[in-house]
Amino acid sequence: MQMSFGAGGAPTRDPAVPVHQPTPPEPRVKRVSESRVLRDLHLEGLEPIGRRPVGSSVWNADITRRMRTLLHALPLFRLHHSDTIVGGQGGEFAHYDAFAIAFRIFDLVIENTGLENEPEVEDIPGLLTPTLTAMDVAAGVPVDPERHQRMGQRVVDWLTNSAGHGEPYTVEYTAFDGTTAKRRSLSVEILGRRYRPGGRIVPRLSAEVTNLYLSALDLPIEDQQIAVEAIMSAQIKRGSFSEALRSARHAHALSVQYRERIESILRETRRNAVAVDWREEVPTLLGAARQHIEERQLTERQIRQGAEDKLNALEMGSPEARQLAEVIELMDRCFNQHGSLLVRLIQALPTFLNEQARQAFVPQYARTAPDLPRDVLGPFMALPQAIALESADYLAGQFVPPKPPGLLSLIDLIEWCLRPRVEGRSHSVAVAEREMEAVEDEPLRWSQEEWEQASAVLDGIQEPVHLSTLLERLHEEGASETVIEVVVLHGLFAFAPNEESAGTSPLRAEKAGGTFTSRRHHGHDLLLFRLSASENP
Amino acid sequence: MSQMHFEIGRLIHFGMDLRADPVKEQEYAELLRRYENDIDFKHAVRSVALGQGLEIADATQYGLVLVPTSDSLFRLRPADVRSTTTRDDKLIMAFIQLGIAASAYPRSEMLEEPDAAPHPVTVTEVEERLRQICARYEAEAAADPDPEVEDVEREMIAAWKIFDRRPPEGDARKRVGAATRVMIQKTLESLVEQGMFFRRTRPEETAYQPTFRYHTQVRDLQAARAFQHVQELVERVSAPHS
Repeated sequence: MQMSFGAGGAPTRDPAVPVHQPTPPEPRVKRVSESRVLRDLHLEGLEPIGRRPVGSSVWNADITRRMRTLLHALPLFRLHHSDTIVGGQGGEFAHYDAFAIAFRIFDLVIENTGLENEPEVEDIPGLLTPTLTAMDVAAGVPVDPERHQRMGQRVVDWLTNSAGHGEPYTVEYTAFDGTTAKRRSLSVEILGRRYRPGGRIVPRLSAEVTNLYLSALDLPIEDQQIAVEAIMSAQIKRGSFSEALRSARHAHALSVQYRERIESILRETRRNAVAVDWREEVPTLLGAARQHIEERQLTERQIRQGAEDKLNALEMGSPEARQLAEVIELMDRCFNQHGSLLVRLIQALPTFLNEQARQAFVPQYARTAPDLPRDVLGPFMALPQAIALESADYLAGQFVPPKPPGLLSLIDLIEWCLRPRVEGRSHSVAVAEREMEAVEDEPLRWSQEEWEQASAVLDGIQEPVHLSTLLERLHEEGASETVIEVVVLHGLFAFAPNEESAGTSPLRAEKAGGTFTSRRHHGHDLLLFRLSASENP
Repeated sequence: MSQMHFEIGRLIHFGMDLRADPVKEQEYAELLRRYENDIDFKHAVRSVALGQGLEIADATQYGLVLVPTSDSLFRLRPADVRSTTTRDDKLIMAFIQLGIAASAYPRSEMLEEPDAAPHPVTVTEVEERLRQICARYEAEAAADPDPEVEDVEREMIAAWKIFDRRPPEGDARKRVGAATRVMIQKTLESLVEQGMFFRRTRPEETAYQPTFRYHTQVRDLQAARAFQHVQELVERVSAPHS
């Protein structure tokens, strides 16, 4: 069984990346004499750097590794040029940039990975409305939510290779075996689906595409985490809070990725406990992961402290303060993710050892997954009818769940048989007529003047605008809190009008795909736009 | 009766209840945590389940996935799904179940990731996959002579021909000898009722998404068992005395 926590096995540290630790890390490599270095190079058949002839080697493995990561961009470039998505000139999707939409999807996926309200794969098209609306406006095309849904679905289908039944794209490239050029085939997954508890299926970017998107190329997750933390720490120190927030989101996405990978390894190890080396491999892996997580938690605490110190010096409610508050929240999430993973790692070894003892006496099935169409379905259909029939029940039964057999309850049956027939009875209770009397008008929550001021603000919306932007403008213009409250409620009403009042608002609102915090309001941001004449007769 | 015995029963009960969800039911989630962390409890649950004819394919935060053993009372048979079943129908239903699994997992790598959800399948995809296999075998057998009458009577002709001669489209109300697309759709719908798939309504065609329960059952146990079983059958047929 292959198990690895990174490209190089145990997490490694890049000495070029500064790491904020209370004590300097111990040097991992002992100093060796120059003659020893030369001797080792000689044994490997290498000249020392600087003495090697330029262009003396055909290839090296690093090129292949980096090239494999970059090749994941090829299906995306096809998306950039492909008329199959936008349908060519003159089509209803012609004004959309599918490439840009794909990157918006990547951002949505990374930003929401691991959060409680993480969107499902099927939700993605609905979250693209603001992006697609902006493209409509720029092209002077009327906004059409149904077209948005269709366009969003097209891009999602491309990213998941829906036409190829979700299989990875195949990309061919040339690499070298020693000095021999060979054509190789690479499977490229862009957007996959992952099960989550509660029966949800969420989108996940492949590790390579995540690396491409975050400009990390082929770094293993462990190294990326270390690098991003170092960058974030420096950004907070020099006051680049919006950049620090971006780094914090990246760090959070990486912590989720790392947790999922370790949990997957733990599950696989438990599933096939017999095939694992318990003397060296597993303790080394568990130890390296524990050390990595403990280091992450320490650094996360330090970053959080640094952000808190800066936050205390900022004006409450300012944009910078909000950014830092979000950085702190994300660091807390990372810390908790790593904490729960650490607990699982601590419990892992004794559980694994028990499981290994149990599995040693259980019949083992093939550990390599079979190719169902080639190894099972095809050969089964080729069998003689009589032989295949003998096993038809057995094989069909492999893919259905257990069904509890029903047991007859005599008491229930007798009670059911003896139950008197229920007959519909006519009204037997007289309903007293109510006496109605007039009451005074209920006091209004907002004055007529406040209503009018809010209406004037709403009438001024001609182009699509974010609710957060509108509120910020009203605050700057000195609008009263009650007027702002009316505007917010109008926005919510435009987002979800009730049945009786549908069509009475001149506006429509869509979820803008992010959250905002103003002085008195917090929640999902909305994109407000005026209904066209045809939508609002 | 000890508390532990009661809890073992409760956990297996939750595993049998297709609607039970540990995210929504705290008791279920706590029992799963105990199963994961308490090795004595875990062994006891496994033994009790096995005694009832149930194997535990997986027990995680997603739920307890139980699989009936070959002689289990809990095993669902084709006759439980369709009361009137001919020999041909029975065979076609086995092809369809395998065809659905093969369409959800067209490559072996797709069975390797524990949490990676496969792509949804459609009736058309399953139908096309099965027809393609028939077309391939038909092309390979093009030069073969017609089967001998004795072989036909002993049902020794290739099983794929049963599927091949059944029309893809036909009356959906027909209970016996129904068209293959109708049978595929009914099988997928019954898998939906059994909590193994859920529907994804699309403008072009309804797609069926395998649930985690189906994924675990196929990935952890049944794909390997089906493979082993078919290998044994193939070896039996190709043995000199057969």
